[in-house]
Amino acid sequence: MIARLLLANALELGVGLGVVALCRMPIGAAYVAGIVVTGIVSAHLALVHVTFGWAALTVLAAISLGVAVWVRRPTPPRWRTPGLLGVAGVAALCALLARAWPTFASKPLDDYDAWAMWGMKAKALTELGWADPGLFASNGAAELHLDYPLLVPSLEAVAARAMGGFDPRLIHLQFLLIGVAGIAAIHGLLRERVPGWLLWPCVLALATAPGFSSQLLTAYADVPLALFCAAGLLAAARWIDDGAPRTLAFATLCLAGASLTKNEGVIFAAAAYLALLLATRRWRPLLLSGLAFEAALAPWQVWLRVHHVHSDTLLGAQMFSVHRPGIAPLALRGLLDYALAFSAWPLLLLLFLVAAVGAVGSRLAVFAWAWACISLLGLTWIYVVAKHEWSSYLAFSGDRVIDAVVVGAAALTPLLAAEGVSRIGRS
Amino acid sequence: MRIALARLSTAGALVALAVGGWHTWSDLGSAHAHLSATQAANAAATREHLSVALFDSLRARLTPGQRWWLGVPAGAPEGFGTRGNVYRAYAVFSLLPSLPASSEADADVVFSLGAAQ
Repeated sequence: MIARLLLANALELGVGLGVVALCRMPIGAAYVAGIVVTGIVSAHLALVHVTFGWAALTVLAAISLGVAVWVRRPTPPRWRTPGLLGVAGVAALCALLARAWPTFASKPLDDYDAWAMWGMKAKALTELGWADPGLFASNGAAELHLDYPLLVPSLEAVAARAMGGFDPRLIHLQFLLIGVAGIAAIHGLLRERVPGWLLWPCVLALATAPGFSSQLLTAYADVPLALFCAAGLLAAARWIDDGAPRTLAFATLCLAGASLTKNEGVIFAAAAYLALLLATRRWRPLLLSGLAFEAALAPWQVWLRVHHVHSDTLLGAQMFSVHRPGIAPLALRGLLDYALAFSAWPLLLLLFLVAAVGAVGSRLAVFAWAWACISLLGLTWIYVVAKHEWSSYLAFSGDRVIDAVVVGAAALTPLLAAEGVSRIGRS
Repeated sequence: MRIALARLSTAGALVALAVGGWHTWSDLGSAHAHLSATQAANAAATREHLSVALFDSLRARLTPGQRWWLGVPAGAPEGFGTRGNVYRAYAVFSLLPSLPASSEADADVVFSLGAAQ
């Protein structure tokens, strides 16, 4: 079963190779790109009664690999002999993966949302073959957040079909592999622009953060969302410098993937667009990107409307139904407490702040500051408009919803630090 | 100043790596579960203190294609819902591929539980 799971993921990597070739992104970002594309395509096809199995995955990978061959890079990538830091960094990540593998493979699916929401949808997609409205729009399952998008359950279902059925333990390995893809993408998108002495400590600090592995192990969608968002942010940061449409297209893809992972992803994507606008003042390409982003989300939004699935999240009709405006500072402080928790994310947000101060005066710093602040305010707004008692709601969800802010900030940290170093003598 | 901040970032990341790496390494080792296939399959019910036998019996009464409805009292508050919500959520998960009906009137099979314990 595990061999078939790995083969399916190898095909998803193949899907991503075409995407990164088309967008001229580093090859390290291919795995996460493949996962995002596979997730979006399989989730949307599930809405129209098309099962995404081996055949579809193979066809998608073949098309993408054909694109990769057809779109030749202007200059072929040069092989650089990895330095001592690179060898040590890769060895540390491999050791961590080897340590995590048996734990993920044996973890029972017993965290509430993992089975009641994400796992239930994944099992249903696996056993029914599609998003049957008889379940996915049923009043009988209305309490199970049917308005949350299907990217992660679809990826679980692709993995389950590859393994021959939904296994409540082995399905955790798919989450571990998403973690691998995300860390590879962060490294890949940074390595051409950040010296190794800055890059490796930051990447390893993120990968080994207790909050990263413990939340990935729950089989919730928060860490996948955070990783897709981080890849989108790094591509967006690259676009600030190169201004290339292909770079922005890659950022758009990753941000759309994040928004199709959880409804909260829209907050981080909107924050990224606003931050890009503040940093570059280039509204035309951002408008086009926004339209492409919306086009990626549209099938799911139309399906929800057609089947009258009610949304109880921030982005529904109650977005402006402010229940407790006075709690905003308290909710913000609570979220910051989670983000700064030494036991979960040791020093990561503080390092982001230090690096952002070092890069002050650059467009990258404007982008990073704006994204982090808008994201935090957007998350705070969830609790201001929530119908639930806010402190219980924050205690229930705060440590998870903050993941994207911390992981996104941690991904930007080495880039900001490198920007600061590069500005010595210029400012 | 900028180079000092960059060095501080690296030094801080090394501290974070040391602290986080040590915790994560030991957590991943201790989180290794040793469950049989049956125990793993029933892990969610066990954690939520639900009767595995009850849901097995409900499943046995369903034939393919039948839609079910679970009538269960709300019971005690639990999280943002009630104990009854937990019963219904687990029923949706465990009775797949049989689907819940939209209402009791639409159901082919109605299960009625006296209490949500």
